[in-house]
Amino acid sequence: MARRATAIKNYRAKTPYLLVLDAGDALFGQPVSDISQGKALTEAMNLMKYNAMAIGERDLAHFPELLDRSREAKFAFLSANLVYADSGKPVFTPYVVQDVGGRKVAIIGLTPADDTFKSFVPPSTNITTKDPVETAREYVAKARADKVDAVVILSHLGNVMDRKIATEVNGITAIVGGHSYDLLQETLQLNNTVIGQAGYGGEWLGEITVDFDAEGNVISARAGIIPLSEEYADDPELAALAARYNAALPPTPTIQP
Amino acid sequence: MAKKRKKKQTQQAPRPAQSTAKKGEAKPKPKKATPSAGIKRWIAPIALALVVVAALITAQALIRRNAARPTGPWTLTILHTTDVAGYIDPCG
Repeated sequence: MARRATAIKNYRAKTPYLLVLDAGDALFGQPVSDISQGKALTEAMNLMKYNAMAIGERDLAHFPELLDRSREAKFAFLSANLVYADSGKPVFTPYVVQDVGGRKVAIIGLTPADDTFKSFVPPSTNITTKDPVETAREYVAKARADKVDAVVILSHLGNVMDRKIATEVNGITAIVGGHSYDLLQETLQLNNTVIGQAGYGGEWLGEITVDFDAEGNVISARAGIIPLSEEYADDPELAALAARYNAALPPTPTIQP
Repeated sequence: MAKKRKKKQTQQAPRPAQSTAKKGEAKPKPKKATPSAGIKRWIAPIALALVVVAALITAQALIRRNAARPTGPWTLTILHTTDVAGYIDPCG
């Protein structure tokens, strides 16, 4: 995480047109994150100035604490297809249009609607999912009507569904994927949509670059992976945050022989 | 007693004022200058002025926004993570 922060800072110094996104299942899963009820990761992502995060099924396992984290976050928690079962209203913000160096970029969040959702999300939460492909179609049309410069889908659907959406829905610039633990090291482009996915566990940073001409047309796109090796020094602020949260962990019991 | 008082009152009623106007020359009834009439006269010009000011502010905001919006070729860079699953270290 501390290396990731350094890599992100390096990029910020290079380009004004930078988005930092997470495709979901970020906040929970380790003792340090679960004991803090997701605060450790939310705070870290605030420091790294993330723009947005998709909602994954493992995040929803900690509903409604997740709603508290979304209020504390300085980045958007996004899901366009996650709705309350009784009212049909979205649980989180469906999509945002963000100013990226003066350009308008729409970011639309999607949550898995398959069996994994049911296995992690208790029925008592009164939340359900809508069809992701139809939801993507609906919100891409809305975003394009807003005259945005680019549309990004932040998907926690897995690579198979990302490919399906890229093929069936026009007007998507990029899909930032998650859920299926794919480490996409080569550019994958379908129907003028570039797709990326950066593995798991925060070991890698995915990188997608899209070149536009003066008329706003995509002229080329690339996707790849940045391994967060020793080349990137630990960012002192993030290293201090990790140390603080680790220190708050209860001591590991030792087994006497 | 009450009857007497009533009679006295009718006797004391003022006589109608003698009109100096000639027959057939109906004098136009002067309009009463009420405070609300003065306010009403200003409503339309003030509303018009407000609409003009609002239009100018909107136009200026649009011009500024378009002026601030960069033009020409550009490159969008997206850095992304997924399934971090609560790791704050040592990964990444």
